[in-house]
Amino acid sequence: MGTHLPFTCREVEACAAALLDAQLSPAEEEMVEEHLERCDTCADLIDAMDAQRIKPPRIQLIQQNDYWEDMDAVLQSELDRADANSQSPVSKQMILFYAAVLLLTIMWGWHHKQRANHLERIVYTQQQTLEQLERVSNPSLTGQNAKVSYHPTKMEL
Amino acid sequence: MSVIPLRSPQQWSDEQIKLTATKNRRVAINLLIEKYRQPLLRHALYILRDQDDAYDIVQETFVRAIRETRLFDPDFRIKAWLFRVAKNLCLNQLRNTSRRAAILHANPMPDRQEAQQWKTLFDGEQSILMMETLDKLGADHREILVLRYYDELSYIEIAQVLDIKLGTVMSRLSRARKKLLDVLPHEIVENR
Repeated sequence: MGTHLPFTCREVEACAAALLDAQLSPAEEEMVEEHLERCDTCADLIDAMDAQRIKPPRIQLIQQNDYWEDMDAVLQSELDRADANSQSPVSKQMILFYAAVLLLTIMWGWHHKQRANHLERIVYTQQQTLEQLERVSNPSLTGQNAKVSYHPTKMEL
Repeated sequence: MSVIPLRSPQQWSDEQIKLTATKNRRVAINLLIEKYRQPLLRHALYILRDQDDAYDIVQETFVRAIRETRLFDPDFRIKAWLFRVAKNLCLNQLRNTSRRAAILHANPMPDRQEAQQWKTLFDGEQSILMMETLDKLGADHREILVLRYYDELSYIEIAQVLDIKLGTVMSRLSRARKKLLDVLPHEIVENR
């Protein structure tokens, strides 16, 4: 065996079947062939494996048609059951549709709640501004009256 | 039984059957049954060597296929899945049979006639010899040789069936064939 072989004997042994079944890439095949040219042990192994005649054993079955007919009956009834299940009153598409509608409703409600909060803040600010203006235009409002006007009642929407 | 619209579903690719399933799932499943029932039956017979059990395995495999919701998904590997299910069912069946025999203890040494019965399933001495040779190998080696050389699956399909890497398929198959050299009778080795 040479000293600079591209594949080791172990590697060649591991891909021997793939070589004989033509499952190696051209580059791998070339490297294995290069190894075999210089390594008699591996070459003998591949030759011996190549001589194996592995053919599927021939099978002879009895009453095949009876078996297939029985099996067909079972499988067709199983298919009937599967068809019946797939035609259930609430299909997968319907469930998805209802889920989408529910989600949109929740989003719509959330959006309106946010909008209401925003409007409430605007009204509150405007009310404060108005009271401030009223206080400036009517300086007689002092003391207890003035304090009350700075804290307007929160609007209920 | 619904009518199978084709004479030779073996010529249909799995992709074409998937396409059919988008229009009619039932027809697609019937095509699959027609296409794969013989290969699956042969696989079960090689492993179990019992005609009744082998048919039961094929039937159960297809029942599971009918119930499998992902069966016609674009990235679903139908052939590998069918063989994987059949292989696992065969192994379970073998386990159950041996366990039952152990529990019953009725016949610890099966009589000669019963033990030889499986040979009637195989046609010709060479076929019987080949099956007897396989018995001398370990379960892993026997399984991968059957998948490759009897069921004629590709290396990629074997990797998917056994859930192992492609490199492992290559090395396991090589080891199995090397082991076969020790046990293979001269009658099944070609003289070159």
